Amino acid sequence: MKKIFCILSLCLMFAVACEQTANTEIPEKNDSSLVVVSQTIADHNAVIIKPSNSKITAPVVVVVADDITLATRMSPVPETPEVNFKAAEHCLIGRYTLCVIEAGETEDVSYLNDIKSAFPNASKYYLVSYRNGVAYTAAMQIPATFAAYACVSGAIDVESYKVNSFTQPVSFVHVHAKNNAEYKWTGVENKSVSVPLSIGAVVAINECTHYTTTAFTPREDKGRVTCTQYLGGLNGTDVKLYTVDSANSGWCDEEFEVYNQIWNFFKTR
Amino acid sequence: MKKIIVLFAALLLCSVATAGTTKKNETITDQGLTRTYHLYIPDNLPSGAPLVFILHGYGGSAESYLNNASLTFKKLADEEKVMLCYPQATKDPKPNTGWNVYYPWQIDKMKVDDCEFICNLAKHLQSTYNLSEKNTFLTGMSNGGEMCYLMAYRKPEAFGAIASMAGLTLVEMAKRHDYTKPVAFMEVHGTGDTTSRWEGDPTNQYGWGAYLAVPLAVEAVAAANKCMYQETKEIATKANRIQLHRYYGSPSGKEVHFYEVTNGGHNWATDSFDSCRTIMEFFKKYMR
Repeated sequence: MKKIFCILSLCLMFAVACEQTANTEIPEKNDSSLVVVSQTIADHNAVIIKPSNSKITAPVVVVVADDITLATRMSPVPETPEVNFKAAEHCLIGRYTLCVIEAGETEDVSYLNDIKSAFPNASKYYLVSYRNGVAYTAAMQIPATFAAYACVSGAIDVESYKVNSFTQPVSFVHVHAKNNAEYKWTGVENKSVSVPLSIGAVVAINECTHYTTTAFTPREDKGRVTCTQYLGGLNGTDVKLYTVDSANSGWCDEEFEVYNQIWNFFKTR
Repeated sequence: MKKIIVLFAALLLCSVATAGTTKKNETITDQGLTRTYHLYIPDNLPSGAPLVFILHGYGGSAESYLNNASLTFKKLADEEKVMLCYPQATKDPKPNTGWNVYYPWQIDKMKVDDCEFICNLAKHLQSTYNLSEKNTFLTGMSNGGEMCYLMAYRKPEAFGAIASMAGLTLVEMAKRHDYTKPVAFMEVHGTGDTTSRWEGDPTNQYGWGAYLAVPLAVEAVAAANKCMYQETKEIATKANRIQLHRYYGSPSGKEVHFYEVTNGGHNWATDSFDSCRTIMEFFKKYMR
């Protein structure tokens, strides 16, 4: 159930994004139907969700998660509650292709090039890593492969950091709850780098010069959210860190419009 | 008779003040210039003793630092048997005494390479006084702190550890150089410093040249070291609140310590804590 909820959350993420960014361009629902395909890409289990009438050049958002089972992905639609299915449908109409792949933490992320090759006509490619450090590893290893990178409730993998380094500026957004017990803010011995040092490594390679901090109005009874934006990065790169005052180790979507914020970050890249 | 007693007392006082130690004013020719420096040599300094460079601020002098009573480096040098060297900066185009760290008026006009000078001086002193080649350390305040960052960029292998007081990373440094090797680094900085501003000066509004926000400058060193973990703890102080942000877990073992002095100004923060001893303790961690 948790896994189903995970994939639904992903769909919801882009539903909100589309709604915020291009309402007027979204066609009527009956103009299209949702296409959900489970397949293997580059030896990785994947679910591709897109509208039947989507443009061939639609941007692709690759989400790397390590806890989605093949069974869930084989039949996500029938198992999906109606409301969430509609959300998924809404988010995909005419605009984006979502590719959710299963991949554990690894020091070699060259497979992401193969994932990208599966969508040869897409106009842009973005990468999100959820509860792992794949986005950071990719930013180190294949910095030019994606237009922007996001990490949600993850951090740089310690083993990856030992063998990889940042070599060129990248646009990166990180979302993290300060009391995340799995990927601790201050780092976890032999597992994950501290969150400030993770994003700090990107800030350093981008040569950002200064930063601003903005507090979000919290949702009722939810933790405060602050956005630190690191400015002055080389090549127009942008870096943001959303700090959530909670113990959420997931999407932090209870606290703020995380999907919308990530998409707003992506769409300018 | 009274005069003789006074004279004798004065001589006695003088001998107590300098008991067992030597202060020397020396010169060295470097890059065609005669450079001066002061040495503080504790009594019975052993062979292979460490060497600590202390760099003055902009418009300052080595002599004033040597004689600054609020800086306890000399007492610490006696305790730890460490030689101290206070080099004197040359005059820059303004003209003020200052280290060449790429301030706007120094770029392309100030020819002296102070990083080379300090390194050459270190080799000279190591050789002349039979000091340790490995245990050479660097600290400095303000303009001297900027030299600490520049040295971390350019000569990280020359020092066991580096400690900046109220120092900055100028954007020009980051443009010209990359961190190439890990370096044990320490920064003490007041959040209320109106000369070297905590939040940085990306547009050169205040005239020193564009420079990074201080936390970003420190984290850049931590990133260069590939520090993996961090902890923050409160430091007991006499005045302003001080938090130590410790970045550690680097494969090299080299840490970065960042002392955030709440509302602290542009100084050595000696009113709040024994910053000189803190620096010396940090250096001792990296003595080999």
